[in-house]
Amino acid sequence: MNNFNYERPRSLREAVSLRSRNAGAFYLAGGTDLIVQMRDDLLKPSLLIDLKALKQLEGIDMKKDVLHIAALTKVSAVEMDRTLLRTLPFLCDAAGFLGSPLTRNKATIGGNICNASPAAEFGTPLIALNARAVISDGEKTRVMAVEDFMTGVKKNALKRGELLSGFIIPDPKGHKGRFFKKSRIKLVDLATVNITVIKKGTEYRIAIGSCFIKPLRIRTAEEMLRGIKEPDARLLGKAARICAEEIKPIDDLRGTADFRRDIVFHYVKKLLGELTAKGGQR
Amino acid sequence: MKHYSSVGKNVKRYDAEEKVKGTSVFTDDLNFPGTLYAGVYRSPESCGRIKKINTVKAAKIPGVRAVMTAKDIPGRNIVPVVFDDQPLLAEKYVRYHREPLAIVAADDRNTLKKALKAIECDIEETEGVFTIRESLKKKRIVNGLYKDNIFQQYVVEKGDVKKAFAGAFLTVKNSYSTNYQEHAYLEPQSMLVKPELNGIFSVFGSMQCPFYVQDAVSAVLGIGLANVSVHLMSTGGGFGGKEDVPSIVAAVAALLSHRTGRPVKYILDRDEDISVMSKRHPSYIEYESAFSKNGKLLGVRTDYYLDAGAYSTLSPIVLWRGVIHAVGPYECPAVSIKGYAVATNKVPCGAYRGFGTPQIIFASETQMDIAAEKLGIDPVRIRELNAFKKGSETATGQVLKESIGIRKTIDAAVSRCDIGKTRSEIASFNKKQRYKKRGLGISCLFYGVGLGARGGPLQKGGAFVSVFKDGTVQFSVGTAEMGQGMYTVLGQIVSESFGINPSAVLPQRVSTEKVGDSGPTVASRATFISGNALLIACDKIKSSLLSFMLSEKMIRKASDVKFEKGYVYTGGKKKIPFTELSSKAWAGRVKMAEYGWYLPQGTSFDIRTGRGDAYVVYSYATNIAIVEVDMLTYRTKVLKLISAEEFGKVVNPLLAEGQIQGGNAQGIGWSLYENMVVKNGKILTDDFSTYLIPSILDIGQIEPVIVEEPYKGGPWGAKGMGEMPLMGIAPSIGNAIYDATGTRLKKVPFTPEDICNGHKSK
Ligand SMILES: Cc1cc2nc3c(=O)[nH]c(=O)nc-3n(C[C@H](O)[C@H](O)[C@H](O)COP(=O)(O)OP(=O)(O)OC[C@H]3O[C@@H](n4cnc5c(N)ncnc54)[C@H](O)[C@@H]3O)c2cc1C
Repeated sequence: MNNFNYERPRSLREAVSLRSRNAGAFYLAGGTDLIVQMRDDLLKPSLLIDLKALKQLEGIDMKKDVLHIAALTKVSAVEMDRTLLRTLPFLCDAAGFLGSPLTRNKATIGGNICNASPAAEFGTPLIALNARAVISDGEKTRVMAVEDFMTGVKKNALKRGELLSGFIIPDPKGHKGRFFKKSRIKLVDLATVNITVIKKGTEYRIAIGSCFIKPLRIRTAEEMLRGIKEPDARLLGKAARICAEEIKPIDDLRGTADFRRDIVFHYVKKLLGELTAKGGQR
Repeated sequence: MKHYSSVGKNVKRYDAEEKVKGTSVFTDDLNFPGTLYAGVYRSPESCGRIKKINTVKAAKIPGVRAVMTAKDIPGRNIVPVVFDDQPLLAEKYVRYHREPLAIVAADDRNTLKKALKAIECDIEETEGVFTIRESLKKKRIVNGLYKDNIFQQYVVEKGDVKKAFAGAFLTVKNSYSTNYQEHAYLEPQSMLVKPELNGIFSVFGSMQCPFYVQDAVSAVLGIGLANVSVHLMSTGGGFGGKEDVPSIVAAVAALLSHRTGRPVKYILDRDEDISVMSKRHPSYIEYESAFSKNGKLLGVRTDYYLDAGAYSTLSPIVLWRGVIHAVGPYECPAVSIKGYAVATNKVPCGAYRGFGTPQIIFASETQMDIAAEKLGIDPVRIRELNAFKKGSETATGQVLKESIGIRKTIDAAVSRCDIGKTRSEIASFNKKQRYKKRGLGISCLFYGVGLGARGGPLQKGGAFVSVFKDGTVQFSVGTAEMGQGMYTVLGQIVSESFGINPSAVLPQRVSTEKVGDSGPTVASRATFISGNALLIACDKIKSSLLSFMLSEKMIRKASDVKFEKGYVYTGGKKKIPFTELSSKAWAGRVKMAEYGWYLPQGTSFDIRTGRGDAYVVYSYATNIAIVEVDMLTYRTKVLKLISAEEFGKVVNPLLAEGQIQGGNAQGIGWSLYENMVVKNGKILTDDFSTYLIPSILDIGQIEPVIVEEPYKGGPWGAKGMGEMPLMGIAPSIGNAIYDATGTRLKKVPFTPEDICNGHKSK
């Protein structure tokens, strides 16, 4: 690890200005991605801007039917939040699959999306929820879809002088959803594939992670199912087939591309089946 | 039956509290003033001729205190093991990726890192040999000392194999392969070497074999063994991974300490540790079995190949143990076993819990299952039919005389699992479930305790016992405590001998200064060897106490005396506290410090025929695995693992269960999760995010069952058991996966991809 400076700003504005003034600066949230990369000398920041003193960047809030999750909210807080467990339990499931309890007590939801791994646990549930990223430059905010915020492997849409302050999920009620993670071991392993499927009325959303440079929505499959209350097994199979075809997985240590397509096919079908079955919970 | 007061009890570990509190002192906790940090510059290629190693730039970096290459070694450039064919630092050729080329000592870790980056080498790369198959073609030779790329081969021949196969009702022939396994001990390899006055070097470290380390340091420094004192620190796991390779770690630190005159610490990073330290050998096995119609095993023919890597290290004896255990705990009148340790341009493999047996047990126990199905015999029944009993002959022709617990372990495992009920539950689950399938699998095994005949001069062990005037006792042995609980078990053995509370008996930290060379701490031998040596020392002290009591007229005859419950019974109900006797004996100038020396007797092995009494005695185990396979992700979950083990008299049941739990978990890891990926000899999975070991969530419910069958030759009847719990797990899981899915797996680990392919090809 290289030597670096460390600042713990007291205001959002100070944080952003430190970042603007220092080309080699990185924000530090939980540090569970950042410190690992620094240890391996993959990143050599000249300055770490610790965001943890900014309490306004932490918390989960339901305001007028809009759900706000601040960027520095711990993964374990998402996992165990009462409101979320009631309204969006599959988001809590996703949190519960990230790393180990130790990781989850440090890691933040914002760090997970900013880090923009194709396998990021929050990638698929957030893009399936049409969540929006709230970006602040210290004064003004701008908002964009999380789907567009993650731009590629370890890349996001932040400009210098901006930070991610949180997420908003418009209209969070009435989603039935399922989150699924296939990993090789249960504790502390990145996903070979992760999937979120959502049904809201007769609208369907399917998001798949770890199968492209970033998590993907499979809109052709979603469109095919739109408006159908109880799609039959044949149709679900067709939708799942489209998903398996549209993803662009690679062979890596976590699994082969073929294996990933196989899992996507079987699990999209199974999860959709669970959501559309009569009396299907959640 | 003898009544025990200390043996057989769950005595708390001596080090329980310090481990829980985090106060145990590991090598890295030692901080002598002026300590330097050592590191190794390693070959970027797997195979080639060294043209140049340039260390000039590195040596000039401020804070760098020494940079050394092969030519700077004052003693011999070797790592002493069996054949001494491995240089500590490569000089002319590199034979595996990351082979050591130069070593550096620096003031701090950052400077060290810079220095290692500043070293350059020019290697003329040549094409390497990376698989057993390639190596056997002999087109390219890994090491000129071995013209046929074979470090060692063994044969075991018995009976008329041709006839056995010709007359068989069923023959089963398959090939099997297994991948590496990394030890993944919690504490990486670590050593600290400190120069003392008078040309002595103190070595502190994490290790299984202090006397190996002493040998290695003496060899590279070219100084006497008496100039090297090795002291065992708290050792965070070994599993075989700290048998021979700590010699390398210590030798590096010693050379730099010798050069700089300062203490030098060498602690490996995890990625370095995974890529360059020893591992379980990958293997390839051809296995052919012959059976009669009613399921009797008539013959076995097998060729067993170990991928040994670039140097022979421990492969010759790893192979030997594998060959001896190739048939399993079964009577078999005709065998032809051939074993080969094959050279490749990869990291040298070595010892790992089970020592060459898990691979061949995977093959032999899968064969048993296949045969059972083809013959229409229950897989439990076919094992019972063939299992050793009193008077049975092993593959090497050894006649088994006592303490043969295999049948007991089968019975215990079967009844613990309530196999009939479990099978019908599985059947009804499978009928109901579409995406999940369950299955049950069994495996049996035996294990030769101690080093056995090929251990030669290493088959020995010393112990020192000292009774103080207050009745407390100290002891020292030459085998190592590495987390397995040896100190506690040996303390119980000593306290049983004096009939006193185990809390009055304290171990001394293991050091080469305290007892003579006692061989390595391997082969599940510490309880057996050191236990016996301790009892010899205790008996000597007790006999001095008896003479004293006779001369003081405290007793009439020696046979009246019993040591029990803190007292010495001096005839009938008369007794004096052990503490009081100790104090009297002290005042009477009795010799109460004694040395014990134990030599296991009667092992033999004829290298030409493979016949002989390979080990003094064997331990036995039966495993039953119940698994669930997700037919969408092909992920296998072990629901339950029942492991029934017989290892003589159990000294500490809780510690034994701990060994079973841990060994089973490692076995599950090797079977299902741990998949080393190596490309052109380079290990790609050099951390725990790519090389996956199971966590508590992945291992399911482990149920240890301990069965006793005391052995007269063991300390209070104990044999050895540390390795068994790992050895037979793969076949029990593989057989269970077959039972669940109908896919027969012949390659370890059982990856979801393999189960998927097997399933689709049907
Ligand atoms: C043992 C272990 C297991 C793991 N397992 C998983 C897993 O199963 N699934 C998974 O998805 N991930 C896993 N991770 C990765 C990591 O824990 C998560 O991605 C985590 O959510 C990152 O959050 P963090 O707060 O620690 O981010 P940090 O490491 O602090 O930051 C990550 C990156 O985002 C930037 N950043 C952070 N916050 C902001 C912000 N508000 N605005 C702008 N930039 C910001 C940082 O500068 C940095 O570049 C694991 C990590 C470890 C160490």
